[in-house]
Amino acid sequence: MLRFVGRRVLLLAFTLAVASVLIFAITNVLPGDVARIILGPFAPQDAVTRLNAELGADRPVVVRYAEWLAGVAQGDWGRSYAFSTAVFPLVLERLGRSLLLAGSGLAVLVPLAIASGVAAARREGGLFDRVLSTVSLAVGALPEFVTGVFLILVFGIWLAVLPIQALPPDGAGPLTVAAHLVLPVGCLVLLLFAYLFRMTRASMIEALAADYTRTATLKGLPPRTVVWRHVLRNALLPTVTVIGAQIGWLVGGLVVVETLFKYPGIGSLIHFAATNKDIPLLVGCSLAITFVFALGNLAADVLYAVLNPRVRHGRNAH
Amino acid sequence: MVKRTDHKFSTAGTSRRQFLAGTSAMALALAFAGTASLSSALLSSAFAQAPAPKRGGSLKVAVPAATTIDPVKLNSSGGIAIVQQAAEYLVYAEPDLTLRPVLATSWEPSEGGKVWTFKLRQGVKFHDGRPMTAADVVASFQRLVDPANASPAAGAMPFLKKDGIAKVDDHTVRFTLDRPIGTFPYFTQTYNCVVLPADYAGNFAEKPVGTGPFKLVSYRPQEGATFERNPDYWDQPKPYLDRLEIQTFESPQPMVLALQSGDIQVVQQLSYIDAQGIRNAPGISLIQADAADHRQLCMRTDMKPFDDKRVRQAVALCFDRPTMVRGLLGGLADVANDHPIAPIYPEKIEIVQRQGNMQKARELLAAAGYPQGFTIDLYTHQYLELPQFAALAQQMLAPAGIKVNLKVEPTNLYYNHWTEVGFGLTDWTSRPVAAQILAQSFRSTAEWNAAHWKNPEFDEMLAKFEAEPDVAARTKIGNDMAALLNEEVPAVIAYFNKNLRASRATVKNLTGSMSNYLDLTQVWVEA
Repeated sequence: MLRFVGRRVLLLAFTLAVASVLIFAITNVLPGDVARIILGPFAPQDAVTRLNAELGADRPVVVRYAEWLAGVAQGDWGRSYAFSTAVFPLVLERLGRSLLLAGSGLAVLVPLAIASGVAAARREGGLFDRVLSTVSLAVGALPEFVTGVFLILVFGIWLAVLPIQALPPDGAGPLTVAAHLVLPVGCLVLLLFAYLFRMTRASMIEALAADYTRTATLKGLPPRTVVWRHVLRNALLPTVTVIGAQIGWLVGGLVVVETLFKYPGIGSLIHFAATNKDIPLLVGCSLAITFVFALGNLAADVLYAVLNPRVRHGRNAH
Repeated sequence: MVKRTDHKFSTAGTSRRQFLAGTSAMALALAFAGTASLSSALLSSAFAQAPAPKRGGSLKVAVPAATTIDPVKLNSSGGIAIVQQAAEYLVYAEPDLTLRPVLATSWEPSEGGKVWTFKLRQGVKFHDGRPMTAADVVASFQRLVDPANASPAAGAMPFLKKDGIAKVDDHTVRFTLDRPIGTFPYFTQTYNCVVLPADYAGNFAEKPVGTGPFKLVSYRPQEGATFERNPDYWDQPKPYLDRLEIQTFESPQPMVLALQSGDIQVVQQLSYIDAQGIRNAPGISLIQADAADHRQLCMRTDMKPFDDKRVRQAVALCFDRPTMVRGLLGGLADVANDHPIAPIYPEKIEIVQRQGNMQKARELLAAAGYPQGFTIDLYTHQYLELPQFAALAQQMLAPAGIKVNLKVEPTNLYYNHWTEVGFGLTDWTSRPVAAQILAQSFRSTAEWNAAHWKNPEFDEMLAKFEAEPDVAARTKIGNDMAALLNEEVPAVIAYFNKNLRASRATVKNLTGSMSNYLDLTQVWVEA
């Protein structure tokens, strides 16, 4: 098990190195001129040239990469061109915020989707199953800017019971923070529920029909034990993989949700960095997101190995 | 109408015109009592004049995205609005374009407008307690025009050099320009030109020191800024608000939703399209300001097919301008006549309005050798109503045989080559003086002369127009220039936009602005 995790951590370091090279190479061919973007369309050309030189954006990409790498080795992630602030604290703050939103989302979503999936599968074709399957699919098909605006209109404006801006005031207590997160979390849950619910339901149905379930039932185990020990353990494997793969997106890809609920996380930050060609910021954000993504996958793999002994034993069986 | 004295200004405060606007709006509102939709907005602005301002309270304002808030490099709408609360200009252009003395109390030209002497206000203190003097003003302007600092302001004031800015005494500054500029005081409120301490080190976000009505407490990228009242502000008892929060938004829809829910109380600027949802909303006022914002449909005069003036005139004749104003902006614009001197400027232009005339357009095209028309690429970018304008242009040019291929690009891409394309549609924002737009877009040597139009006669008139301090004389030259542009059509200018601002009805004394500047000094809130 230790060797398995160790190998995965090494692979993670390698992934980050490759990602940083790729990001520098790709941003180099992005259209647009950094200083022109900062100073605006009506700034004189010599001011643009001078700012490019000041930022060092006029030097070859290889030199910039080498310098950036040397900086990162010393713990300096560079300064954002557009905001003229240090990248590291900004990325760290935003990452924390995004993790809070993603974490809250998963904390509500996962138990809800799995419980509903199990309940629906156990009475396949029943009223609960049919209603939930249809409704969740319909809601899940709506993009987040539709469900989000709907939630804001209903709970923020008509009923006026919830804050529509997810960022709590400075020094707010945990309850206030939670109240501010209700709407964006609700939006995330509506967006992802159908996916996880259907995944769990399908694997449950399959596992319930499997031979080992019949064996377990026939040897006299109570239905509760059969579901918990045998069925769910097998049925959850694909769900775990799916959640792991979603974590990177949940942390770094929620640009629309973050913009709509005015909750600037790392998704909005990387979106800004990309559209403004703010390379130090873009690389910083990308690395942070790649890291979380890889970590999410690692966690999913480990959990998979815990749930499914075949993976563990396969690796250690010699 | 409005009396303008460009030489010397001494009075400030609510103008008579503003007062009249208030009372007439009230009368109108009473007349329409019952038809809530229209009158609710008018009523609130009418009563805004009546009760005495109350001290205290806080305000949350939504502004568009901000990048850096270093005043020297400043360019984003959000950044400008944030800096304007903490730091001030020498003068401030009111919605009717009269100049209000701010850090300067009076100004006077000499040598025919080549030298301008500004008297500074006494007893003004920076937020760190030091007095504001001529040395700070000189250093602030030198910093902006120094080529080493890469400031957008250097492009706005090409006639001002570092060694032309001098201190006369502790409260007098003299600007010696390369050439006479009759409206120079207006240029001193270009958005970068706030007065900062002489030893400002380029770190406004960390050490924000100005003379403004509010002190900047914190600034966070993509979130916004918080302010507290400056108790030592020179214009007591202003400002009225105790606390101020400016939130930056990446897109307009969340701003409007937050205004509706009451989470924020003011939306600093919003487009006609975004204002649709709150036009008739109760408790929300829309403030409309005349502006000189416009769109230039530029045609490269040095390339086929637009090298022939008749072709450019034909294009201009294809547009049905009143329909465009209604269709694109719901009537929230004034029809324009292919020159950028908007009705808001004191130089009133009285040349004959060009009307849509397809018959004449076809004749002109045939005479120029394009009886069947031609095919052309039209470039523009994803911004405001520009894509819709381009699509409308495609439809309106089709009957003349001009087949338009639309190239709607992302903003950053378009601005990389907007002066190079043969046929391009560009947005121009307001400048406080007409000469600025004329010089930047149509002077032969101008960097942003996207039509590549070179006309020595125009350049000569423009030089006179820029130098002339007298409004009547400027109006005469302005009419000649407008007529020339209308005849030559380097660019189709179909309408002048108006600016919109929205607020909750509890917010009082908020004004609009042609430049979307945000002045909250006199704003107060009802409990």
